[in-house]
Amino acid sequence: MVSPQVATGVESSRSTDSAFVRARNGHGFSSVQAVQTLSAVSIGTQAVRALGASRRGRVAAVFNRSLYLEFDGGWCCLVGTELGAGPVNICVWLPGKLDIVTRNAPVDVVDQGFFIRNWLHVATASARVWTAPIVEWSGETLIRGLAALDPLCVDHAPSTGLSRIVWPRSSADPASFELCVAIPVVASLVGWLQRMLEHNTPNLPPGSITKLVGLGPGLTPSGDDFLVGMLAVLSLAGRFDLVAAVDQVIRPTLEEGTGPISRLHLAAALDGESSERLHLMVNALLTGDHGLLASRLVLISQVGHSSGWDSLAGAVMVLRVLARTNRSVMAVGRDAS
Amino acid sequence: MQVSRTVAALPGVEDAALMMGTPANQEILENSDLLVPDGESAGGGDLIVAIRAEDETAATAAMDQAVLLLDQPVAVRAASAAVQPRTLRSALRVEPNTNLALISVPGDFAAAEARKALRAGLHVMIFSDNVSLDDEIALKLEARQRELLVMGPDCGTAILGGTPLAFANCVPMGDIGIIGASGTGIQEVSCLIAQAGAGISHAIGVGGRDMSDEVGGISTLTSLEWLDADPKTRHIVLLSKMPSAAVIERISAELDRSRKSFTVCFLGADDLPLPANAVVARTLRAAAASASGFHEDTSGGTGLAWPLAGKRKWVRGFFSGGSLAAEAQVIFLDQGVRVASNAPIQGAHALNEVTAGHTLLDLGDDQYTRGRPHPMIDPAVRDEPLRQALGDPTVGAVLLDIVIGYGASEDPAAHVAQVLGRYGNRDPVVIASVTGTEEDPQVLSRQVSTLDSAGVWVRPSNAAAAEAALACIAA
Repeated sequence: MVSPQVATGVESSRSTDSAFVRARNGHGFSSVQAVQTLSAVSIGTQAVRALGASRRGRVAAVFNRSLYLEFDGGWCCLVGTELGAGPVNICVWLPGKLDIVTRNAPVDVVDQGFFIRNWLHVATASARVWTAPIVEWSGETLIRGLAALDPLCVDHAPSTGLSRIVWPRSSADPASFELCVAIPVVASLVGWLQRMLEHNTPNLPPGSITKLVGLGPGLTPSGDDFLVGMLAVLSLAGRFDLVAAVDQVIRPTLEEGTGPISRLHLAAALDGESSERLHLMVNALLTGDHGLLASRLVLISQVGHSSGWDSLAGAVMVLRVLARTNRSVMAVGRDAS
Repeated sequence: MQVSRTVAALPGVEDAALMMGTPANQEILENSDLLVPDGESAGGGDLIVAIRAEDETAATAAMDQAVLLLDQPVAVRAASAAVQPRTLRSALRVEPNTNLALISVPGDFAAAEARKALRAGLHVMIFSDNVSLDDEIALKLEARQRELLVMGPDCGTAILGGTPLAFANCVPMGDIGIIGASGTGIQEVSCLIAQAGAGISHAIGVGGRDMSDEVGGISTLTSLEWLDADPKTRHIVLLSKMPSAAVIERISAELDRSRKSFTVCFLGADDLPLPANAVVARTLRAAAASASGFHEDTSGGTGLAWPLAGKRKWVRGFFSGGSLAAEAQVIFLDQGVRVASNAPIQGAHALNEVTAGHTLLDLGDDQYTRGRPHPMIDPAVRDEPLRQALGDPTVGAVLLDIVIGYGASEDPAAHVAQVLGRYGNRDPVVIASVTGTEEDPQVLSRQVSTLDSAGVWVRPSNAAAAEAALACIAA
């Protein structure tokens, strides 16, 4: 057997300033203007916090349509509007790809915005602060939404990741390692949720939940995405007590348990917010709006290779328990019935 | 994950995985016999490329390939973009002379894509629905400033310079321009004009809300200005349900400034404050006749009508086109016959449930299409109500519209014929019209022939079909 090798970090292959300057032409950014300004259309609450608490930071990771920025006061993500809003996102109209920016480029926070290496100015003055939309729903509308979703998902959920936990395929289809690890964990989580929602007795989730942290393929591992979906629904359903219980068990494991980008999204979910696409999908399920489900499922399925599906699976796991125990749901005051 | 699969399939490779180096993933790799000390030292932000191979040569080749795939994602994407552009930007690189973007994405994101297109200097046709009114107004104002046109949202039909877009028919080029807030309205009028031997210069859809008070007819007015300036357009037809008074006033002022002639069809309206160069048409058929000069036969085939047996006295209409349902209502009301609809025009009754009386349903309405395709794409939407009507002893006539052309079902007439196949008798009588042309993929005459063989009484226009239904119940 030949040894596996390790590649360190998430980075762009471009690393020199000269390459960076040459690359500006042909990427949609102007080659004649000294400073390019991008006006942010929306900014998430975590991003507001990160910028408000910092003067200086760096570009931590570079992708075509997004940049992860690390500050002393936290992280945020500069994204093209087509990727949607979110708690850590600063959405801008992008004239071209962002992979011309180099990793570790300095970021200077100024009044109502920031500069990346003195040439790319992101203005946040006219950005609306994005917060997760809340909808009115009832146990009945939720049951309708879930019933309409399953036929759309059964044949389309990917074979990788964790979505097959909630939409199983043929038993002849071999399960991946991550699925084998996750199945008993999710089973015990369902039991815990059911007990919490039926009896409302405060209790911590099973310790095995930490096995989901950092589990599986992807820049944001499938297990993390699953947890994000689960936390999004608990927040939307007003069960902040359960979010706090999950927080207490998994937060101590995040630093070592997963990568910085995934940790950022998990931390935002623990604070009650996830991506706009996930919230729109969950809201369509909560309100039983089956006319919206197909199009929102398309948007979800476009997130990463299986990330969107994994987070949807986590959300649906909780929604199914909520639907079974909707008397408990009504007690929290978000129910429209 | 795609890289994992590609590398694992290489010759001599026994197993491969590319995963973030989290403790959970290290455990998975260890269980798969893919973890060695190098990998154990990885952190959550590191990517582990783990390959188990038959020999070192195969492993090195696989690792080289993995690094190549990871390092050149842009090149891979660029190659596939040459076949199928996935963004507006890449599409413009492939076709730099493009001047129009057709947006068909989920409604939540349509406004963002449309705005990008406008800022790239493109006219925009928004096929998507579920775009907010605020977004529609903002987009149309921005387009106006940039001297561009926004067609839609929810714009299903256009024919620009002879090119049909979305749901449209293959009609000849000619000197008649159409501006319509209704897709099937444009289709019916353009097809009747084509059947009369005339042709279309451009047919511009503006979206169902354009002539509302809120939007103020922004795209209608822009289209009027452009068709007025187009030397190939002699006569202009304007189609819509009844707009607001303020919009009518603006349109009237625009018509008054023009030297061209106009036909204005605000379905069912006949008393409009319009200048002398505009003729008012109450129906789509009247609009096509006015524009192309053909004689409008309003007899409805009275002499051919079947006398109905016993208690069969009601008409049930099942339409895939909203404007066709509206036009049928106009015909009924003009003959003093009470009618109800789920999309009632002025004078018709609102319908909550099919019980008794004449009912004309728009099956393309949201209540029937939520979560399923539009009946023009999937004619099965009509099956259940059609079966109920065929089995109802009080129903004397069933009215159907068959809309063909690009985007529509491959053979809608065959579908109807299949449903009717179980009903051997001719009560109730089934009456239909086909909106289409011989050049359409489904071929007008083939559709008529299929319906005819199934015992359907096919009339030459939607208005004529409605008149035939009324003739039957009067016989």
